[in-house]
Amino acid sequence: MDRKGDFKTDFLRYAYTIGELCVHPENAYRRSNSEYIFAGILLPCLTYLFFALNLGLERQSFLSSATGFKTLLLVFFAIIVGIVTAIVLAGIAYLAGRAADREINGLRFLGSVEYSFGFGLIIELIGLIIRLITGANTTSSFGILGIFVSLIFVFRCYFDLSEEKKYIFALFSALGGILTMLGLNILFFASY
Amino acid sequence: MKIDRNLIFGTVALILTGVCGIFSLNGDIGSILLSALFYIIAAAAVLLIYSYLLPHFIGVNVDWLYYVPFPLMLIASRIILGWDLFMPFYAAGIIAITLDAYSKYKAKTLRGTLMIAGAGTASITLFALISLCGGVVL
Repeated sequence: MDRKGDFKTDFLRYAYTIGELCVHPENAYRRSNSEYIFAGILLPCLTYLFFALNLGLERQSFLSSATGFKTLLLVFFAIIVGIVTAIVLAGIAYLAGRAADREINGLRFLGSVEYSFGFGLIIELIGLIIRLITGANTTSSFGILGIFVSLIFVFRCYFDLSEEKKYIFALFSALGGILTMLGLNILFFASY
Repeated sequence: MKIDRNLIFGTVALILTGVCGIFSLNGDIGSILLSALFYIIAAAAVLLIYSYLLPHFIGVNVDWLYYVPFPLMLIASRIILGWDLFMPFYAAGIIAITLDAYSKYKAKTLRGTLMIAGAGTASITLFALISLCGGVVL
């Protein structure tokens, strides 16, 4: 009974920490706990998974060449794109730090990027549920917005580290956003 | 005269957004020119809300640099990727500065919070209405 209670307490504490990091992803940078960095990689993966599922279902509704297998492949590909995007966004923070003479640890910043996808994940999930219930096309509205909301949190993490040279981080934020859109564009092409 | 660099960033970014909005419009030249005029008025209204009304009533001044990446992304999406999307970029930019305003607002009273949320909602609704009237698919 005690072990069950301990497990429940540990799980709740873990879930609370993850939830708190999703609201304040910039705090993940200050934690050097690798346990949370590796748990967080699930968030961009799931965000892109739901986005690709939504996109694949949309294609199936009007393209005769779109099949369930192709959607499955797209989802798998999207997970890879999600991981690469998170790594690229963390790499851009490192480069922005170099340009602004600030020491930024790219690996630790990866944690902040991962938890920035928390709210995006919820938006993608809502979009997918609305599609499944109503059949409405939610790829552009919820799909793109979910990724953009994640980017808002990533950019906030960039600015949090910027101190006085904010304009450099604004330019690098735009670069990060453009590369993220490039990833989405690859998914759009892959879905045909 | 001291130049407010933050306000200049906001003005330029909103003008860029408006220009991209004009390029998204469908219709005859008359309706496009009319929508362009409305975009200018809407951009001025958004600047007024975030850089005058919020500082005046609840003492919060937003950092327009949070908005700047989104018009740049919007331009890249049109030129490089050929996307015909407009509103998600603008909405994301406004959400970014609204979040910035809320994080800077220490008092967190109901009135102030509603003002910040109202500013975000009004800014997005304003541009969405103009875009809808101009024939932009939201």
